[in-house]
Amino acid sequence: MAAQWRVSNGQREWLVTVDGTSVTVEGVDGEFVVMPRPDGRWSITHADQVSTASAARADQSIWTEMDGAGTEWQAHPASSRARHRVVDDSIRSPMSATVVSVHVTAGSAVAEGDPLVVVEAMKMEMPLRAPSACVVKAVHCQVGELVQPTTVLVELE
Amino acid sequence: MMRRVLIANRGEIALRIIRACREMGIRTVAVYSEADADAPHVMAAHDAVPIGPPAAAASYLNVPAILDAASRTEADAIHPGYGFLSEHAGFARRCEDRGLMFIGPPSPVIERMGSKTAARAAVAQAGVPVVPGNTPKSQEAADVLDSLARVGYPALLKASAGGGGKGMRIVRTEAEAAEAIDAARREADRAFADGTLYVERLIERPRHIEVQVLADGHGSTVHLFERDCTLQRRHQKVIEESPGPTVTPALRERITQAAVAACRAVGYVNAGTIEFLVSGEDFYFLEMNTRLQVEHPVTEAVTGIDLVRAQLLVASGERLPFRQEDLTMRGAAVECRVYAEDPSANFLPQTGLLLRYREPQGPGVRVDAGVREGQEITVHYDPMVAKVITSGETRDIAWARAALALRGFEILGLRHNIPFLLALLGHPDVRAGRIHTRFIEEHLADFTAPAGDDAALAQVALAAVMADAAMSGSASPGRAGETATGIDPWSTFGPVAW
Repeated sequence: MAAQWRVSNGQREWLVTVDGTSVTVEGVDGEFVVMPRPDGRWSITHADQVSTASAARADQSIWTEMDGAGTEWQAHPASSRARHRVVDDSIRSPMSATVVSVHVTAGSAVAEGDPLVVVEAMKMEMPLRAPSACVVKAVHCQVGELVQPTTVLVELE
Repeated sequence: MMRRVLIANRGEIALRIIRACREMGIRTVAVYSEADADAPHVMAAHDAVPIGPPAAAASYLNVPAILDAASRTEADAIHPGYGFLSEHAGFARRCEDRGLMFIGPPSPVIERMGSKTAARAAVAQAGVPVVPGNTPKSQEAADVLDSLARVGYPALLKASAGGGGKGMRIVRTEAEAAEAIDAARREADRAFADGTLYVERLIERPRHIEVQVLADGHGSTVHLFERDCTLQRRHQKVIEESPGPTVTPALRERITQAAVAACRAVGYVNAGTIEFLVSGEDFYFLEMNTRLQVEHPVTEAVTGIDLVRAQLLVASGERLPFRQEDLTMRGAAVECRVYAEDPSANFLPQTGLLLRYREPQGPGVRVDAGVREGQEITVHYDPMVAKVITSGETRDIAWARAALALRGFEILGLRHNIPFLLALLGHPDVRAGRIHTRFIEEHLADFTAPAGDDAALAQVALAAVMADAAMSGSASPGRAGETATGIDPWSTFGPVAW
């Protein structure tokens, strides 16, 4: 029975119909035939072009790899109401990291590219910069704190 | 010969050293942090000793714990690998004091070459050219500013105890100086527990070329030719090769002789690398690394010499088993460093579970890695996942093998820099050797373009099939019983969780 999925790489979303090995992507002509290979990889045939890829499922996402390039995908049943991550005005650390310095306070006016917070992970310092000129609404972290990607460090207006 | 070597390191270099020891019939002791209890290097060694919590400062840099592990396991030698304690003169001295062989140069040599200022003075005296520089009268910001002004802008601020680009800042104008001094000092302090800075003139658009040396305790010092490590990003090497594509026979002769002279001048013993900045046919001493380098396999590939084996022989007091005239370069080799970092997001280090990890194989392909499928890449250590070293009769063959190997490297579960490495390998300026140490920074947009639409769509289709199979939780329609190899992609699905 065919099922519809919304598949996203965080930047773009596709509406995909899966019916056994036959897959169609909304807005794209022709079917993709997706077959497992004996070596644990996959073959995907579309418009007489065959490509080979790997795939694996993580807790919250699916990873694929083709020609050395990997991508992480989110997939939700098209009927589900779950929406993908919305771009917002929160600054988060891209990974588990320690806050090295905080350069702003609530009310600071910052220009595009100004460092807001510097975090350190894997022995590397990473400045988290203002995406555009704006005013800082709130700061939710302090120096020395271990933060996660889910932690909002700075809110912008 | 030593009987039992403790390897004070982790990851691929620990595995590399364990392998060399096993080939020579030497027993091995691994040490590991709490984060590495089931890491490959722990599995590979004869014995393994826990040395502390995940943070490097509490484990792989924990000198008392490591020395204690050595005495408890009756190790008679310690190999420090690279990074961590490898250039820590105090650690080497404490090994020497306890009668442990430190597999590296004597501690006074590490100390002297570890201080960039002392190293410069030592090699300059041996007639090796050095980059003009200045050591601040004191570490007060005003004196560092004064040094910058004396050397002239653009200048380079460097950490005296530094390495790997940490604590290093380019200062183009006086206006940038104060912030750069602060940042360099903070980084140096955190990385080396020593915020001492000095200043060098910035050589614009240089190449980074280094010479591998080996010296024994009987007066024999040889070089193993050069490696070109010009392709760097923020002073971290990305791709290294040998021979240097722009090195003329005349330059090779001069630069290797300078390296040997520098080693002799400081009484160097064991394996080491002299790094030079090269501009045209001119070269300047940059620093000496008194240890095995990450990129040592490139030299092994073109000379056929096992550098770790040579280190073990020399540390045991034996003579080098070859003379300079026995050493030749054959063909070409290139190393690509695979990092868990996201090229499309400013190379942020990535963490995650290696859901699938399959190394490429083939003629002229060597993969040095310290990870395995199912392992977690954590925040605690360097984000290097693997080194892919390829070699062939010509540079073109070695590079073609590199591209093929990288395209066939299956790493699923975290973002990595293989697409970036492939873009670099294919770039015409890189292919032609028309590069300098800031080439990557200046052409970054050429290397971080996202994949084309066709590849993306095929993977969209595959991702949807994966999701669908997980949801239905049952056999796939494409499956015709067990496959010939017994590997079944569908069997990797667990219960649905979304």
